Amino acid sequence: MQGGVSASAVFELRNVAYTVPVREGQRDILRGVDFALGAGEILAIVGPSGTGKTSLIRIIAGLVAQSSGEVLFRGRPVAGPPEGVAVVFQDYANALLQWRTVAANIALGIERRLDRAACARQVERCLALVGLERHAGDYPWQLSGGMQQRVQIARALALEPAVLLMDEPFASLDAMTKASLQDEMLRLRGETGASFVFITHDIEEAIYLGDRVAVLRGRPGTIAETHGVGLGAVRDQVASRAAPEFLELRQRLHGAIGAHA
Amino acid sequence: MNRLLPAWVGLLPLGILLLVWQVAVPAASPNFPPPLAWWHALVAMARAGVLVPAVFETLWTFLAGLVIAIVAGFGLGILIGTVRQVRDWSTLILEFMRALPPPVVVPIAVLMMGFAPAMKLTVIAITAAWPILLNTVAGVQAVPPLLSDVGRSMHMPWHVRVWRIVVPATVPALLVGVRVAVALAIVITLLIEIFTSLPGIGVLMVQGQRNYNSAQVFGLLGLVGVLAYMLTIVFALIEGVVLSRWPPRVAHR
Amino acid sequence: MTGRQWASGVGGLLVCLAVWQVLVGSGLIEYDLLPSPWTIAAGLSTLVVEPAFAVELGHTLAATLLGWLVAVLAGTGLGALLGTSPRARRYCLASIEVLRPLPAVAFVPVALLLFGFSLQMELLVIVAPALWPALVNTMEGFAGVPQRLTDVAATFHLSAGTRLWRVYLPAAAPAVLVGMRLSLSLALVMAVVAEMVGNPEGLGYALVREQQALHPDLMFGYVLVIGVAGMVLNGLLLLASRFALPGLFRRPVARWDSA
Repeated sequence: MQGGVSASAVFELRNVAYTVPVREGQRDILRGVDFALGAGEILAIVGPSGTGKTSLIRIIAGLVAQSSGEVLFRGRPVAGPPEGVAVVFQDYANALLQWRTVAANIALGIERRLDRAACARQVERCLALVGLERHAGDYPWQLSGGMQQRVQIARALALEPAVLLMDEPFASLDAMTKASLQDEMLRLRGETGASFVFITHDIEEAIYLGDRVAVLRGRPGTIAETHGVGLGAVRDQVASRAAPEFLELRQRLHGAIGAHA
Repeated sequence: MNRLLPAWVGLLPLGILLLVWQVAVPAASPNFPPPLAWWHALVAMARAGVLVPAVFETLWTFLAGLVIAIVAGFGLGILIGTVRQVRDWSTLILEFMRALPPPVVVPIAVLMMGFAPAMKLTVIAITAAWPILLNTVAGVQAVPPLLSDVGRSMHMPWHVRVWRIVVPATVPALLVGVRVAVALAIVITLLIEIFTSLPGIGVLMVQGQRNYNSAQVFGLLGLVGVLAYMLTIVFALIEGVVLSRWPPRVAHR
Repeated sequence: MTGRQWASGVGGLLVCLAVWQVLVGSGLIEYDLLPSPWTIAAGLSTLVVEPAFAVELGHTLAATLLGWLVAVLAGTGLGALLGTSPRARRYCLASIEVLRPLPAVAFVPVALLLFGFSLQMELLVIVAPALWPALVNTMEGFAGVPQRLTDVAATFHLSAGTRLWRVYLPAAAPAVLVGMRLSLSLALVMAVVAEMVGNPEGLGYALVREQQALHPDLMFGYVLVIGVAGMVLNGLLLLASRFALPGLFRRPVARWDSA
């Protein structure tokens, strides 16, 4: 459905396929994936497990190469992690450097290119963005899951990315924490103007956060359909989730995923 | 209960044993001299000016050998752990070396290098490097693979990822190896001294044994025990400080 | 291990040996006391057919296994006692912590003093250090039996014997096995040490004898034999424990690579 190439596309995937070698031959993980991410947009990709969500994000992030097709970032083919793209992983406990303080974790991506003072300023700014000013000196393992995930988001923001790739970032958090981090993410989008690819298996989360929702389906996984979300820029955990547009889209996505899962 | 220092009442069995030994055995017992006789023998050696240089020599060699072992074992371990080709090519050699009892290195080194102080250091360094190397390799392989993605997504080249992520992540495993290496290095240091009569505490023990001076032998055994215990305490303190940055789960394995 | 890894492992070993052979054989390294692998192999082949060799090997293995058996019996017994009784731990742990670091080789002069050049001397040198891994691991295994399991045992009113046999022992078995393996490799090491500087019998003494007789080929031959003996003993015990407790052993997969 989203076939046309938008002029302001940050990322563009064309007919991307991904296969991995297994003991007998190879297994297809993704096939014929097409989509474009517009500037400042949140594209939520929703799909059940086993449809290659994590492979997709690793391909976009330049961490693995696609087997065929094209991945373009600002019009250029992606070969290796592109500059201006940051990744937030689901498994925060393993994605954070447990032996570094919160501040040192946030500095990880910038400490080599900024001088000490500039780095400290940037860390402080990002700590404030996620509300962890009082935990700069703590170690990740001393924090709750939600706070650790905030550290990971702050670490990504410290890179001042144009695009944030988020791989089920809130999937292992409890419902309350999840809701507050969702709202925090929407606020950060407003403050930074970054674009997001947000991968999730939670349909409601995809609708609540996304400007558009793409459905990843099947084995090998492919983008089956893409829907615009007619909720407007300002979202509210109660009102937005009760809006007729929300409910209608939810029903359609349930159908789209459920019928083929 | 603090794991580093178990309840002091736990020292009672050892204390009672030594006390009974002192009271029940005559001071002149040829085979089992009582603890006070040990002390007198140690004092006599100290007065004769042989004890302190021997202790110093043994401790110095132990420490120098250990430091070389840590640097070499950790460095090689990181290399083998991070480069799959090196690991694959060295697996069988490592497996055999792992099975080789460390003391056999002593006669080999004596044959090749003679009775030189450098031989002593070499043997200690080589034998103590093994547990460090093997634990480091295992530690590198236990680093979460996700951290590799984290480093790469931040445009860190390979050597930067190794230095900033793999090396610090492997420190707890290194410490496990060092703990083994400390014990091994003490044993090998004494073994070389006993085997080659190069100066140190080991030589004094052999002399005591050859002269049937059992009080001297037991006294030195006690001294070695105290030194070894103090070294493990020092190591545990250092370990505690370093591991305070890691989650308790890792720290207490 | 995959076939490719095996191939690389064997390849690495062969390359090492070949380099060694070329360096020594071609005279690039001129050093009388470093034999080439080929010379060592030749020495080893004459060595192993001599009747004296079987006696030496038998002596060291017998001393190792006997010492190990004593150490394991005493160590697991004491360990089980200390592991199940917090009070016993409280009143003994500090003594154990003080005695455990005592370097094993320091027992050699004491053992020589007490027993002269004899098997008893060797056994003392073996048992004294080999006791600790068995004891400490068993103790930690028993002390670490999950509360959940002991609660279950209590709920079912199991007798003390049943509890030990059906609950504690299976739960602690992995730790006990680790202790037994550590004890075994330590026992072989200490047997060799005791023979090197004490009792003039067995492989350890043969090693030193060939070193002093300036027979480097035979000395390296004995080194190989001792290494293989260590691998075989460890392998046998591993096999036995895999048989006794299947599903306990899973190989860690190598994951952090430059690629």
